[in-house]
Amino acid sequence: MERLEVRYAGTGGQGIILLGVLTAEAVTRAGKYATQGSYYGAQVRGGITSADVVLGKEWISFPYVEKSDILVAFTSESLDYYVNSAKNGSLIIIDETTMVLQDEDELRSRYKFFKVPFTRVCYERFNSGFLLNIVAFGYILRHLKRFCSKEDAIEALKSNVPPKYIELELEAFNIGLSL
Amino acid sequence: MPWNRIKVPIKSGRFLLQGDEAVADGAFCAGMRFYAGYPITPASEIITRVQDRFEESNEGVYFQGEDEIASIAACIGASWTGTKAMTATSGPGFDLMVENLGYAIFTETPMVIVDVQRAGPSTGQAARPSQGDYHQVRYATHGDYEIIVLSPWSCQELFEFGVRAFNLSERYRVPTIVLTDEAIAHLREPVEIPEEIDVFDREHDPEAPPFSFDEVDASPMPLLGDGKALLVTGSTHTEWGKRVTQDPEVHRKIVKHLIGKISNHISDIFETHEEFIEDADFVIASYGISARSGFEAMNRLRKKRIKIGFFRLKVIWPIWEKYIIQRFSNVKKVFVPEMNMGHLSSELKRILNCEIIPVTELGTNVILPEEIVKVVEENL
Amino acid sequence: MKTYMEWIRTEFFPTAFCPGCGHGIILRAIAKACDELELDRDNVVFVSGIGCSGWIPSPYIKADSIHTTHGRAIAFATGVKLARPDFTVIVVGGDGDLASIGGNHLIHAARRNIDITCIMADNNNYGMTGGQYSPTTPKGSKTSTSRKGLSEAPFDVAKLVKSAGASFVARYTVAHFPQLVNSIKKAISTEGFSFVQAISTCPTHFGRRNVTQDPYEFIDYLKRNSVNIKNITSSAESMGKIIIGEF
Repeated sequence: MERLEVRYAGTGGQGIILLGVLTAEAVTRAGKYATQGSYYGAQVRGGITSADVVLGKEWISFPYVEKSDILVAFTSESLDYYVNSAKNGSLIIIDETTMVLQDEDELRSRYKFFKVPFTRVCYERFNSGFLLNIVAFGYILRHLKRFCSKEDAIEALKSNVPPKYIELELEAFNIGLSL
Repeated sequence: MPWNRIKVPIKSGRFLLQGDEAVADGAFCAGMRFYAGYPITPASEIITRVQDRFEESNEGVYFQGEDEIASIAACIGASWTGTKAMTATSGPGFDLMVENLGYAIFTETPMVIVDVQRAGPSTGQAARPSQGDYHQVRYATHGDYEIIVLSPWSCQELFEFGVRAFNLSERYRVPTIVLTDEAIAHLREPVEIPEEIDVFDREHDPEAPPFSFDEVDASPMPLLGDGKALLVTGSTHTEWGKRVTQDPEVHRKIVKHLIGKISNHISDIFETHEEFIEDADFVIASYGISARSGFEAMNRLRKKRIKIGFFRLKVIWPIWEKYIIQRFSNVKKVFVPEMNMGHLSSELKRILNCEIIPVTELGTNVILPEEIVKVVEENL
Repeated sequence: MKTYMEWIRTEFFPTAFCPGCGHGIILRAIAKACDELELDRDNVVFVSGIGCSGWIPSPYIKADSIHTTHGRAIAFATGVKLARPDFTVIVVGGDGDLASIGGNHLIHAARRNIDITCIMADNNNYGMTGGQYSPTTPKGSKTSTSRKGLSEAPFDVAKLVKSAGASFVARYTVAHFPQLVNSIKKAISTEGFSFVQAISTCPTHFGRRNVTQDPYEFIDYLKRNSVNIKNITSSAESMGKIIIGEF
């Protein structure tokens, strides 16, 4: 049974859980199956927030990430915390703007490792990092093509953000798509 | 007729829903029009969803009680007016509700309680799951009684059991608990909202006495406002509600009724989900979130050609012992994953003669399928 | 037969109250108030808790009644009222029931100002369990749990409920029957939360240890020892007295 395990990790306030919800919503709208669970609050040291999304063509038995296929990390702390639960050779994407890595070579040797300037492009266009999660949503879609289309993602976006912000959100989404 | 097939009062279709939202929607579809609750993690999303449903339909009343005691009390009061009532809470709040839960049991008041389990005892870890309330929901209040407890394993079942809990509660005049956990209550997954559902509305009879001594079934219920000067009491009573505080025979009759009206209908109430039990040497038995792990573990083990089956309790109380004994007659070992010290394990040890191997998680991490696979392989 | 007797279930007589207990007077006052207001019995719901006071409406008042758990009558009543706003909902509780174990529900009902009438049959102690002190037992009183005299101060429950937001608050004793009936009528007719503190007699416990065991003397004591809130000109006059009237 096809199963893709995606984990978004960062810190509170970055919109990590919304990113997870949007992913699951897009896949649900595409008629596929998605489960989305979150970890947040004081139970994980250092204020790590993460959103698990498991994607499948049909019903998913175990709804959480066991070993991630895709890990998107927005803080060094959350990367350190979750890197060991990433599958060998799996995809790891990090925010190049804000994260300083000590062991980049090792990460490159074990994983498909990408650095993406999420925060920088956010600041360049919006002079703020608050749409970081939406830029990332646009970016990540290229890896989810088997599960949902760009149209599904836009529908998910529309149903989860207030109408007055939708123009701005769509712009951020498109920036992510074209990164 | 008490059973009705009704069109659901919300949009049908397939939606990504959080577990807490799904159970609120299910309850609303079943006719819940009174909700009382006190804020508590991880059940607070339920009152939010209930408010949405009440406001958009312009039906129903919600009430934020000053505590959980007031919340369940208000539900019982509302239920005696004929309004389907629900409250939702988590361990610490459930603790506070217990005395009035006993009142609802004794006065045969239909109502639904959603208990979203978190890690305890005490405040514990508020935003982390547990299955430690397995026995609490059954034996919480003093005295002898039966109670119905449903255990969903998905957001879909949270919706469905929201409906079923009301149907059972109305049918058997007993408070019914949906025992879920933080993991499923906060999980989001696609939920299919059907166009129609079957709903049971309590048999209302203004001429009937409020209580019954019948040993095999629940009785029709009169309501406040019927004009019959109803006497409802949590003291031992005659069928007409007259307090009888010293006659042992009356008390015996009531307790027999409270137990008999449920135990005689156990085949209607009890529900399981089973896979490959017929040819299984080994079985993974579980409920709630741990059953999701158990199901995946079974899949992996069967791929390794191990003759293992899966047995999930959708209703954890009452537990149908005869049925379980019969279904497990050829099973050699039962593996029981659950997020506690082994509550279902202890029940199965009591009921079955084969070896019961608990797979427990006392921290607050959902048990991973691979952990179950490992325990099974070590014990084959 | 007096017409208010139609509100009383005489088939359950004799009552469970001790000889000389003032709760029978409160029962009559409630029945009289309901009768004089010509309430539609089918839409009146009485809710009571645990203790001697719980017996007043359940079973002695002929109307729907829910006899609930200790202290929670107001919370049950809140559910009834919210689900059926057209019902007249009347809570009858005791001083222990409403002001101690149920104190939180009392102040929150007053704060919400929910349209419920609450009558507190206040006998100054826990009569049913052997005369232990309650939140309204006067300081210095001897009870089964304050043998040398109570060191704690009591609540002024009427003032408490008033300041919490109730629409109508009154206090009378069973020695002031007409006023008690009138205040109950006013309470039922007032929209919002209304509260009547009905000081009762408990010759068996509180009276025996602090006032008198004689019911007549007890009533006389209540009369002599009460002062109407309107007639107080200095605090010295009200020292140690029962302040009656509307608050």
